[in-house]
Amino acid sequence: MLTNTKILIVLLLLAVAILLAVTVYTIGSIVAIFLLAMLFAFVITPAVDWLESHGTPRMLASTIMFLLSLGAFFVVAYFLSPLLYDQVMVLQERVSFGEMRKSLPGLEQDIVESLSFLGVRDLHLTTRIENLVSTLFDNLLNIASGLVGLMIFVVMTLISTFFLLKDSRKLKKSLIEIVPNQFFEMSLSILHKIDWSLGAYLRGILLDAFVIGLVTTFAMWLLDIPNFMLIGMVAAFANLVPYLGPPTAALVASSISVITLGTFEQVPLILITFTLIRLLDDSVIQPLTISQSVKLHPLTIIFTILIGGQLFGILGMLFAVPVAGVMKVMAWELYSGLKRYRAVY
Amino acid sequence: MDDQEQQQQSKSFLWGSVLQRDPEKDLLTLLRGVPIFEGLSRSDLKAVERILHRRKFHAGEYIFREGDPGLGMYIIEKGEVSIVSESRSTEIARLSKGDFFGEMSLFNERPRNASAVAYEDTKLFGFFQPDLFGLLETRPRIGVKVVAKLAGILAERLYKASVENARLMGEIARKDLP
Repeated sequence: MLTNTKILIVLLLLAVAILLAVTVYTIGSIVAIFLLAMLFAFVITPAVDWLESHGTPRMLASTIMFLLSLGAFFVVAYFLSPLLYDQVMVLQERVSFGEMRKSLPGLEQDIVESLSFLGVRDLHLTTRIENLVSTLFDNLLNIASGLVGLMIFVVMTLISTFFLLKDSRKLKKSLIEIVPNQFFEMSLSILHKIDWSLGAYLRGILLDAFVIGLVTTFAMWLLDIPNFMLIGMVAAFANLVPYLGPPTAALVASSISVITLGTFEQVPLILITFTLIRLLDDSVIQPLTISQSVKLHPLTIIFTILIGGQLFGILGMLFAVPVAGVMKVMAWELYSGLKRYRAVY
Repeated sequence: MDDQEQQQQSKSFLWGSVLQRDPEKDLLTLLRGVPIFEGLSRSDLKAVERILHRRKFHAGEYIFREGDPGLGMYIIEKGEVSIVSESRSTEIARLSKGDFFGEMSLFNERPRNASAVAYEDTKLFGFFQPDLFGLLETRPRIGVKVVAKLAGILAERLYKASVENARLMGEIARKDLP
């Protein structure tokens, strides 16, 4: 039988969910700044804690780790971006003018012949790919034109990250201070468990994606696949999306190879490599990197990606599953906490 | 705000720093009197103070209930607290300023074996498991001292319990003799 407390809790949770949805919809970019800052803070916090445990004051430890992370990012960006830029430009050139224009009709002919039993006659591959590429570059131009907004976004995210690193404990303490006595211990316990599980989950999936990106880049470089760095980056980001991510990365890698070289020659090798990397990830990398895994049903994943795409476009699609994972971790810890304290049965 | 606090505030307004008590000094003195914080330096105690949670309870208000998962201990800053066994409907102990209770829960989340109720308007400091683990992670030197003191207290209790157990077993054995 439902007691008044239970009804109150359910109503409270519903109100929080509705408030969250409205907030995300109306001030999405501000929420995104906060979420990104939280993500960065979760990743850097263990390093700050480590420095603090060796006698460095929190303020100094946060400043050092913040500047080191920022420096590492700029150094990597400084060395990698020209290489990456060259690879993107080469790809664009080949798509627009180069060998692709010559090789595509032949490829199209091959495909049409193979699929003739389905009644396929004309694929208009050249026009379609050119349209796709021009849309993609138009989008990039739009992003560039919003550079001022982007700068504000980046600066605000960095400032928020720094303060979250420095004052996260004070913030949590202030947050818990306003909780009524009756729910105080329960809220403290739940908040701590959510904090721990979220940190473990986020650090795990990011580290896994990073390792997968490195392994893929290295494997593609070994196989002499063009645009190996671009493919590695795609693989790293795609790895954030379970089930659909890795095949998508393999598809992108195969497409780049076909577009650049004009043959399907390397496709089987690419597919085998991606399968091996997948096996390596499941058997070695994930057990080492991910301590807190979150199982989501494939249907949940598909709908989550669709909702993410509808709300925030491509970035929304990419980060939809990790955000859903975060929400599941929070909901689970909240539920088990309420159950431990007999607030729900 | 109670009368005493109001009086104190007006006094400090009138006399400024001449008669004003230093709340930080009071707090550090209070903490120094708690066995688990014995031997900590002033700066160590300040670090501990930063992670404590200050809570106010009205007379009759439950601090925790018997059977709730334990999360940590409380130190009484002001007022009195009744430790009550709900199952036996009896008051086990009455604690006052400087006393502490619930320290067993710093190590595990086993259900509390008694309830704690504010006997009068009470101010407490809460020291909880997540904060102790955080202290061990970020300030291990202080964390280890606190844990060592806690282990000492628990070992002492275990010793007393085993002596009491042996005494009771002896009594039972004597009664069983024909």
